[in-house]
Amino acid sequence: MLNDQELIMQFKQPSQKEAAFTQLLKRHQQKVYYQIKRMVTEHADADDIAQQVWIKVWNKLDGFKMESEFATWVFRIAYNETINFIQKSKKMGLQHVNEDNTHYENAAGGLDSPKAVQIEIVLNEAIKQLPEKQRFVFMLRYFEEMNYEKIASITGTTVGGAKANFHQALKKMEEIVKAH
Amino acid sequence: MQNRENNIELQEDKLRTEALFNKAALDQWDSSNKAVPPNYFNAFEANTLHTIQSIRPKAKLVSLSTWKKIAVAASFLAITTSTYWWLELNASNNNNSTSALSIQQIPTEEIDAYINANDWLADVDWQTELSKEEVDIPSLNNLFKNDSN
Repeated sequence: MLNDQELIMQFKQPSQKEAAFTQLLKRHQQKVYYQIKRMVTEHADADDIAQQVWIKVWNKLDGFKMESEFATWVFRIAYNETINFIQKSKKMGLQHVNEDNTHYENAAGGLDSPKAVQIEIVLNEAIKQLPEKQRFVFMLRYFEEMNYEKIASITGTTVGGAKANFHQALKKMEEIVKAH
Repeated sequence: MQNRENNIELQEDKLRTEALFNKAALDQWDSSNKAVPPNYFNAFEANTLHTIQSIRPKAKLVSLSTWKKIAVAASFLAITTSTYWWLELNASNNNNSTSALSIQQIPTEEIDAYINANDWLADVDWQTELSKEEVDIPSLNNLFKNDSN
């Protein structure tokens, strides 16, 4: 099985372009989609953004210099597309981005005790109130278990900046928990 | 060594998060986000490839050397100047031909059509007026005035 680097080399040959791209898409599409979905909540929005991400990958992969891992590069595109989407939605007055509680209600159905449901409510509220960048960093760190070097590369900041974003996110969520 | 340190740091971050919200709640929150329609990822792959194929390839930008840029600019200037010169020449030819036109050169049918369209002129005996050796403009003016009265 070819690794990402070999697939990228194949992509640069016109005859193997589509086959190589399909392999890369199959390999990374779920993680990219899940990260976007954590940010925007709505499946339709996540689907649109994910498609934009992969179209950009197709258009720009020829110029990819392999200075970072392919996955990091794709996540960086996903980060930019997601932040742009959220900011545009805010400007247009669409407030549903990460404010839809439907997923929480469904999720709460899977938890046993009222205390667990309460934790879920607070968690959802806390995530909702985080600034976009802190939220993105928090998701990458906790759910994707990424190291700070990769997170910094994805969000266009320094390692120290990425660490600060994660700790600020935790601090803010701690304040929200205490307020409840 | 670096990896080990990274792992320790990651575990610390995760434990700090789980101290705020328990692990089950965090896992539950994440798994609810991962719920997708059946066969979604296969359909996504097909849709994305279809969209990519339907997008027309973008025009390529061609970079030019300084001499090529000068050549392109000179050709553009030559075409613009010659077009302007040609149009000017045509316009002056047209003006000359208009000024040289006399009433004798206008076909009778055209004059008749004009008179028919302006019926007050129909009463004028043009054949008589034109057959005079030198047309007296004031007398023609009088003729029109009388006619309009």
